[in-house]
Amino acid sequence: MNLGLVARTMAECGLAVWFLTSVLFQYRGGKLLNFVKRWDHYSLIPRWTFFAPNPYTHDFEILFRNRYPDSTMCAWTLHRAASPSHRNGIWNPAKRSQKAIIDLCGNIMGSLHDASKFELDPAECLAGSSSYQALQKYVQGLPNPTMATERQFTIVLTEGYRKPNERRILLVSPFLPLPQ
Amino acid sequence: MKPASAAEWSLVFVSIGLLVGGAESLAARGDLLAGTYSEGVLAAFISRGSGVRRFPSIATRFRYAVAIQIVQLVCVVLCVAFSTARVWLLGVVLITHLVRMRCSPVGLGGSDQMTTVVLVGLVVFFSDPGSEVGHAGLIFVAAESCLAYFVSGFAKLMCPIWRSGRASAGILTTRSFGHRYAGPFVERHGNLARVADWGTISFEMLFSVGLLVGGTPLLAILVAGGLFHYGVAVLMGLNDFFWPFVSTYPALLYTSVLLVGHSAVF
Repeated sequence: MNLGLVARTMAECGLAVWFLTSVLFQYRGGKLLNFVKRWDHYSLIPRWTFFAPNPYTHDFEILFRNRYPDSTMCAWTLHRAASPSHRNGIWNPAKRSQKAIIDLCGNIMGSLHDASKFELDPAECLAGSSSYQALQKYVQGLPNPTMATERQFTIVLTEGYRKPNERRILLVSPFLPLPQ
Repeated sequence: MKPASAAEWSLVFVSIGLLVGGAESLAARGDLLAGTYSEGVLAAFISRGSGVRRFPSIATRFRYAVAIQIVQLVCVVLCVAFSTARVWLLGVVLITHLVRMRCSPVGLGGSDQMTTVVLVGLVVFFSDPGSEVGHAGLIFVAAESCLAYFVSGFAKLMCPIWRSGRASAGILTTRSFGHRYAGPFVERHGNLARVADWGTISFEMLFSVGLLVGGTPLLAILVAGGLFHYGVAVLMGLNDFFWPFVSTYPALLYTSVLLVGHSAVF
């Protein structure tokens, strides 16, 4: 048997199957898609629907405040992973952290929406949400130069540059212990 | 365009993207330590019951994440600079890219997936450049590129907000993907917003037609594509899309020559 021929045929078939799978899985829905995506640990099956069906027209923002051993608290502080810069078109190191926060907040809102839809306990849903846990860890890991012992965070929805001072509170966390 | 030239150009473009992205990751090491890639965040994501627990034990440690990044950057430079053992070096680049995607599941985007597509296509091409299977690698890249543009355009066409001309203005007025001046300006000028939305839909849906026509129209579409991605980078800060998508263009030129039998400039 010609091993080279077998390898070439397998490679060609593999690429063809991958492309056809990509075509089939462009739209949401169906148990098969959910099953396959669950095992797609390397994001090999793309969804090319950039900014559709729901373009990102609002901002999620994270604010946090610290509590000190004597129970005093500081004011809410806005956390921004990235600041606008004219260089962002070429060099934008903060974009992944920013996208990560957006993804986490979106997933958390999805969990809360599901809790409301199926009349579940929101606290339980959040406790089981890996995105919520991840965001908790993220906020707990932010710098703590003032030696506070606990931190609370909130997710707010804003209108971006349209109405920069309008914020709608979506979620307020309990106080979380900070690593000392 | 000859297949070898197409593969070389694709390699150069995708390599620039990987170098910029890798340097950005290393520059953002403070963020890596603080959150996104930290042990706790990864642990929270990895414990979703995936059953794959080998990579987290490596990459949950920051120093390994940096090491993986540096290995990738070195291999990228070597495989562009030397044609010897290129397929193996590309294989290492592909594996490190996949490990990074596996270990930092939040914050990923279509640019990372297109990078995977291009790297796989190039590994297949350079495994046997003169054979049919090598050419299949380039055709695969071209097909995924056409699919990406068409689906992106079609999905927007199906959305009322895109058809009504409110999507671009909405996106550009956010702090995350917007622009301080361009966003409010587009929002104030409704006709400009509609042109932006319908222009995006039309361009993305007609992109694949260029492949079938070939020649100068294809070249014009590819130039428009480059400008489109540059605009997205400047206005939206999404600079990671430019190089992976432009790196599919040589494969498109090659595939177009196969389909229609003539080339515009090469």
